[in-house]
Amino acid sequence: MKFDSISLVIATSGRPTLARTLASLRGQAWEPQDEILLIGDGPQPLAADLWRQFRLPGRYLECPGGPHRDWGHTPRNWVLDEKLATGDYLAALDDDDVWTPDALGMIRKAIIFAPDGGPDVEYRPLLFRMDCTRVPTLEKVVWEQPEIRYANVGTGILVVPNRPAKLARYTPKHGGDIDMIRDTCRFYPAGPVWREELICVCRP
Amino acid sequence: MKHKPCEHDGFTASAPGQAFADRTCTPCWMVHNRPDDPSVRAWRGLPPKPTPLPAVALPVCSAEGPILERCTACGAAGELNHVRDCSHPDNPTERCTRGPNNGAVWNCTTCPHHSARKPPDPFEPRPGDVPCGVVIGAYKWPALIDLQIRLIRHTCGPVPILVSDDDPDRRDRLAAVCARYPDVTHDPNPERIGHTGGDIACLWKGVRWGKERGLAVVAKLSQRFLATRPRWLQDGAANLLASRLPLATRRAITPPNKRIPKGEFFQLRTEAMLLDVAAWSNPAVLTSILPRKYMDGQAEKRIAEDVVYDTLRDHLGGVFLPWLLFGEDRHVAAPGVVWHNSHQRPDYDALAAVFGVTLPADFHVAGWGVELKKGSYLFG
Repeated sequence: MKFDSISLVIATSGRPTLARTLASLRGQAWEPQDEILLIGDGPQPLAADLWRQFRLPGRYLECPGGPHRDWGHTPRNWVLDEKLATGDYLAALDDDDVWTPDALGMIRKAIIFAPDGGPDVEYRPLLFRMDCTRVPTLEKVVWEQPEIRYANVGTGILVVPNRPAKLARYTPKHGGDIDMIRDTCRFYPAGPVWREELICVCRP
Repeated sequence: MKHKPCEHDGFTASAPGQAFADRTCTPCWMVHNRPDDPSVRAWRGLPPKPTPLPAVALPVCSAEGPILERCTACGAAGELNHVRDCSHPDNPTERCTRGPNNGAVWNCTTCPHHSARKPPDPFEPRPGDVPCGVVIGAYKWPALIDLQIRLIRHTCGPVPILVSDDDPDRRDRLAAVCARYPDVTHDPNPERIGHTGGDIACLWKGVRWGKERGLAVVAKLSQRFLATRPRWLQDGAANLLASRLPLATRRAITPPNKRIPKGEFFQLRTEAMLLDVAAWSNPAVLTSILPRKYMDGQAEKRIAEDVVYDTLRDHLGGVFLPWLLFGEDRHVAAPGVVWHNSHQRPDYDALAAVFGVTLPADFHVAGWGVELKKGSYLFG
């Protein structure tokens, strides 16, 4: 049997766009072991109240010492450092992005049918597609080519096994999510699985 | 300083100026050293001190002369009732006044030439500001609506304003106030509805008016909710549209305390709401907020908070954007807002004075108990 529960980590600075991010998670195919970890970059009353109202599975937590204002890198690293996620796989989303209507179903299907990583039944990272056509500097769907580089991958496209020893950290700079994806995929000799499914929309 | 006798309960008595130590009697120390603390004032049977409004100050008017006499009609105290000489070239009366004040002496602080007294407008339009307006519910105090209009124009620029009037007795006076300002529409109810229904009517009218005017967002304000933060409307509207939620407000939670032993809880606060006009301009939504009585003569009695929340839940997805302009506890003052549950009459008077308005003697920050006893209040 494959393990396919998912922890979705959303770091937020309390932007109002978080409402549409959370709205996109309603109606997804959540299963009992799945969870959303909404992480406030410090105290975020707007995020806390939205979380209460949307009644999604999971928890709202506040990253201590915030706001760090570093694109959510510190709050996401805090989740990794503290091993707060309980799912078999980790996904992430920014607070101005949304999941497509059946994103979770597509992710789970991809996990279930993903190629094995070896005899220790360790699965590989999955890299899905993200619609960035409304982002003025990109105006395209990524990934375009199966390579990990700036403007070709981003936070929302990575779904990775929740193996603490094989999770890199977000580096404290713009584009730190690219470093995290690259360094995490290096732990897997077979590399990531490049998936065609479009699971999220950037700044819709 | 007089205060209740204290037996110190085994602790050491304290004197003014004395440092607080481990064994110091806390109540005594507070009375001597923190006389303005709300708990000390409560022990002494005094009302809490008015919340200071650091943004509000009375600048000097360059045209203002010496005090000539004092207003005998407005009931205001101190600076508010001064009638001064005015040297403004556009003022033929040479008095710092606006007009007859109930046949008595005119009131200095309402002078139309007194613009120098008002602080410079902090509002600055920004590219991308969405079209938005304000609807205010009005009952009993036309001068308060006058203050609202001036304050909204001061903080948010020349946005359109709709005044929903639920007070037939003062209709002409309110109409006259609205007529003084461009793009302020006076919209009286055909007959008195009352508090709850009047509030809901305000919402219904605001949505329809907003759609007719091509507004993306309408703010619904209760008449005693005064927002003093610059651009509160434009910034709130931008956030609401970014969230794609239909409504912005806060939940209402007051923990049990001495004054409100059971505390208060409502799903949302109705005294200040931002409405996405497109979302609310839906027949099912408008039907659920029709102007009518919701508390009087109905088999099912519903307060305004429930009417709005039921509409949100049944027709609009059930989630509102937390509007961080104010908090969840109605009784705790928020910076940038004056509200009757969290402020005192002097707070309103101070703000009114800045904008050259005198609030009437019967203006108050309490509930409607007095009006109810007089038979002039309707639950609606």
